[in-house]
Amino acid sequence: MAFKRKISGGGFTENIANHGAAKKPYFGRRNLDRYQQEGQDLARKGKYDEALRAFGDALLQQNVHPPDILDSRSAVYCKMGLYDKALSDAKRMIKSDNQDERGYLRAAKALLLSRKPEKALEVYEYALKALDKYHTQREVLENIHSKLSAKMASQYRDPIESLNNDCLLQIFEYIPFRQRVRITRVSKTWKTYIRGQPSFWLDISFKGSRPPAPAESVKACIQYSLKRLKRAQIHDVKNPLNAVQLVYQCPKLEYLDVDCTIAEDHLYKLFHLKHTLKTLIISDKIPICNENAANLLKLPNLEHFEAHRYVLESKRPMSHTLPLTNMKCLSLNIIPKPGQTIFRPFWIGRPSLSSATEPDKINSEQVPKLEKINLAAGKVKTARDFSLLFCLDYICHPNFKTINLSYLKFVGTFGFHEKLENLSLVYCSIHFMTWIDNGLPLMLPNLKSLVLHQLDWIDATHIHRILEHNAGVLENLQVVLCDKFTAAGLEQLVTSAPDAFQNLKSLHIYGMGLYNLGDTTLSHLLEKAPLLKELHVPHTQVTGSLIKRIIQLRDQPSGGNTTETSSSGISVLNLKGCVDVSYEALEWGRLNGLKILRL
Amino acid sequence: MSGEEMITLKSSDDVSFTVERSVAERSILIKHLLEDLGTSTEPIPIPNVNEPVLNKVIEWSIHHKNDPPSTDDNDSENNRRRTTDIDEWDQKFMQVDQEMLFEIILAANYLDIKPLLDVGCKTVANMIKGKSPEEIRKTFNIQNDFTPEEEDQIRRENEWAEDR
Repeated sequence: MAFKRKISGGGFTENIANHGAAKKPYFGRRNLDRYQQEGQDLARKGKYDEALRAFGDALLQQNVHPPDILDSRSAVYCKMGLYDKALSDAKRMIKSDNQDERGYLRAAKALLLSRKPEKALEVYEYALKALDKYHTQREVLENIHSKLSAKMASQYRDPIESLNNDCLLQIFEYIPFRQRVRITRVSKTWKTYIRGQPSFWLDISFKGSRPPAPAESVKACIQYSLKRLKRAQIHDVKNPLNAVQLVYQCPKLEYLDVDCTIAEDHLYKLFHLKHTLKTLIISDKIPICNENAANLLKLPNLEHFEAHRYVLESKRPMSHTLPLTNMKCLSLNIIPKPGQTIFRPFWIGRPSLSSATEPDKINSEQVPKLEKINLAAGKVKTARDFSLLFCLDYICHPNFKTINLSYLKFVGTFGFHEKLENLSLVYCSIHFMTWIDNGLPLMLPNLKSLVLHQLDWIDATHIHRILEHNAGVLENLQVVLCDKFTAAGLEQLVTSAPDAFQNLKSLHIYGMGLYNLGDTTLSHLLEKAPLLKELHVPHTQVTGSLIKRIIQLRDQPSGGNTTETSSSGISVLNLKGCVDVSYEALEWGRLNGLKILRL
Repeated sequence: MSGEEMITLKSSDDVSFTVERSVAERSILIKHLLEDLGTSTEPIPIPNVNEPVLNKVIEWSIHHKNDPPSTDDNDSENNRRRTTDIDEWDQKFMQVDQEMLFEIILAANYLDIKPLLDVGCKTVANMIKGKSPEEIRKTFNIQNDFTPEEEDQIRRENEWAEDR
């Protein structure tokens, strides 16, 4: 081992002599010098590899003082461009003698050459702390340090002072709004610049402000935008009414998302004539009655409307709202009037007098652009008891790409248009008048996502009807808490509509009927679903064999399947409450790279 | 094609660079200029860009000369939350001191080389993104010229925007 030299005030040659003489046999100073000399000569001639070898030999000599050799070797490494190695030699030098200034100089040099001047500066600073007050080379280091820091200061540039506005605008566009606000504290220049660019204040959000944003802040943001504000997210503000009044005064406001307690009237009066609005999102903190909503919907440029507390007060059909020329996405969380049993969407118009058995159909001229519909009837646990009747024919239209329905009771024909891409039914029941089994066949070849939650009437036959014409478009399937959907039903589904699973990426099945779902059925399913990434089968009878099967399929893609084998197989496996899966199987699966969820 | 047409560019400090036309045309400014000039053998003066910077810009243009023309002109509303991902070569290319970095950005802006401008701006944005005011001061060696009272005032004004 190389010895450590302790600083005892004496010169270091004396030290070497003491230690060397006392502890180690002398191998010949001349020999050591020769190695070092040879190394230096070789280096000078550019024979770096040989020089390194010579230094390596020198370091092996017992009477060596490592810093001497390392100093030369670090220099050679620098010449070779191996700055990391140069730096590590320099560090060794400092470690072996922290009063030898050469270590710091070498370290800084290596850092400078590898373009890390800040780090080099740190090394000099460290050296000035470490070196003895009366160290002879102190002054030299102080000199270098101040020169470098002056040079560094000249290399730094304040972007705001160095770049033109074109470039700065682009740079700051990448910085999120709230950080842009925070960094006005950097300097006076930054404050003036950021606050002086209206385009940085066109899209403001107070979501997540803690403490809530005070009225002055809202006002300030709008002032900085020179009232050109386009988008505002009014969440978490101290004085909501004041905030919405302020944003209302901005003539270009396009997007408003309010999640604060404000009286309905105030909001309504402010915005029902705000023609610039394209998006209006009103959270469940503000009830909006259907009459007011109808007027808001008349805003001519509105494309996206969400009312999370849409209160049905008047039974008067709101057909005077129509047509909704630009509306693309509509979300209503309906609170029915006590005693009300039917929800008749305003886009259907007046009831037809001809026949009760022929439900009114949607008139696409009234909602030409509508493609996404979310309807829910109050998120209450007991929804079933007073659930609102909703006729499915109202939404059977080729324009509709996404339909999400919750807490409703269906009547009419259980059918959807074949262009539908996303369907989600949550906690919905069916009226005895629903034509569910003898309705038209369901043709949904474009369905990408099917989510069925808490539907006690749906069984494998229905799901089969939904999926039978799907030839590999479906990516997401969730059948959760649908009691009539059983393990046997799933097995039947896999055999009868195998194509539907071809492109499946995520499968989530769970419920009473599935308690006895076992490895065999899932194995069949896995073969049909080669692209599956996520499998959620909580509270079932699966065992470790399933894990084994998954790993097998992943590691040796079956030759029978013609689909690309590039997919890496399942990565997430949810086995919560699957008591038959042994601890060892879990461990083994995890070791094989599966992310297994398990309570 | 036997031998592409060569174009000579002259930096502000009178250093000439001869490059293939396709390289020079990464700059929309030069492209339009060449279209207006027709075939000319005269060197094109680039008065705002000095030799080291022009050298870097050309290095970038050579590496990217076969890139497909940028199509992201749809700088629409929904496109605003762009990422600041930069490909590896460009990241390395941008490892220069701040003076050079800003000069490259300005040159790209002047010469109208949008993808280079994007990379430059993203690089600077990444030096700012996620950092506290203190860290930004350190990054760019900016003096905090607020009095403690002034700074406190701003801190209070911006309290709602703090990350928690």
